[in-house]
Amino acid sequence: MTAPRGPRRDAQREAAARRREAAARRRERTLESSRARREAGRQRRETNRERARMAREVSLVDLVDRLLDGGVVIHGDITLAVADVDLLYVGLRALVASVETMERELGVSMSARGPALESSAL
Amino acid sequence: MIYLYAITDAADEPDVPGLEGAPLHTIRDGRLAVVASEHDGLRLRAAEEELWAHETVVEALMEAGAVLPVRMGSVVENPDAVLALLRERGRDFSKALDEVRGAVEIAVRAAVDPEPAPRATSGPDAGPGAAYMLDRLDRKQRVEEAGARIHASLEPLARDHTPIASSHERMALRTAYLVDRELVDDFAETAERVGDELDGVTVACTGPWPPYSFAAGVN
Amino acid sequence: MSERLGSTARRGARDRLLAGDSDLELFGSELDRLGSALDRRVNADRESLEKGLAQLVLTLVELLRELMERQALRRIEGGSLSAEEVERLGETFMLLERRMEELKDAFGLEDEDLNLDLGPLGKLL
Repeated sequence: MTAPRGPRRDAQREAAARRREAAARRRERTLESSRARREAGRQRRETNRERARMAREVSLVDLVDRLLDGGVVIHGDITLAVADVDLLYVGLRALVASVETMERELGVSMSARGPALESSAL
Repeated sequence: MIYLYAITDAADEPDVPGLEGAPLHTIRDGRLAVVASEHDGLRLRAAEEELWAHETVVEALMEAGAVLPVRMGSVVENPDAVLALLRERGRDFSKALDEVRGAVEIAVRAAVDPEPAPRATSGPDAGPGAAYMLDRLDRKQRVEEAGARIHASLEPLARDHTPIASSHERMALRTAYLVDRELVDDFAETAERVGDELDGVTVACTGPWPPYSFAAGVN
Repeated sequence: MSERLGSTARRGARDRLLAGDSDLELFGSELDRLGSALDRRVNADRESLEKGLAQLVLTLVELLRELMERQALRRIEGGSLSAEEVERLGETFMLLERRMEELKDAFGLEDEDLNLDLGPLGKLL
């Protein structure tokens, strides 16, 4: 028996084709949005990793500050090998600290005395 | 050789290893104790692993009671030397322990964003040198003002504070605060808020740290 | 408004950042420098030794410049300098700044190398 013909059948076939197209478009959209979500997720994870790395790094700087400059000083046989630490960093911080102390004290005494400065006083 | 971590009045020994996996010892004199580990010939590198290993010990002690961290790399010859230390300076240590009990250290940094163009205008007669200095003066004052405002917001939340050396011209604040444990969240939120409120100023806090910066001055 | 860092459970064992995570990229270079300091491998290449020395010297000069400039500014604030003195000081500092730029160029050094301009909080010194 051959397939029925006639306007009703044609309309049904068209409707089916339209439904198939719509379904295909929906699948395409779903794929796209899930791709976009995955990409956004990947970027977020990367940003978070970067943030975490930097948080650890800042923490390390502050830790070094504290361990090497802070704490009770026990005068013993210090065997800390500073060769592996940037001596410039350690030394300059000591320099800065002492100069700032000096400046503070000079600053206070200077404004109290109100000195007249020589032209090349610096 | 006895490698020192901290002075404490905590009752128990912390359950963490010392450097190189060496076990921790507690050397007591009355209420006070020094936490240490014994080594045959410790060659200490100031590298990330060692720093955090040391820090882990001190932080574990901080959880158990009041702690005075000792500067990293402090070593004495034998346990007798430790006892002598405790007897000699015990009173200062006790006092210092009371001052930090129940509090932690928070490190705060704030800096002002760099500005490319000079903002200050000098008079029409001023030469280029004067214009330069006046611009520098304007920047310096803005940096100082930012620092003062941030400090004013944070100081009321802290028991004590001490500046940490920094010379950079855009560094508005670099200070350690001693903060009651219960106020740490408040403190961090306040710092974050002040940073958001001030234009062109970045604020950051790290912590909670054992009170290194408040132990350094103990004589 | 950045995400509030609260529970310690979220942070790694070596993370102590309590506030300020929204501008963390500014911290980046501060630590590169410390990181390389902690793991320093000696590079005996002559050129990099020279560059290393130049870096050291220029960093020190920059440090001194900042300290001196701050002192000069305090005196200006205190009103103890004449207009002429201010002008002369300014010219000297401007000249110093130009010299520094020339030296940096000559050695191929950037501000970051001198630990100068790593963003607001990226300053080791």
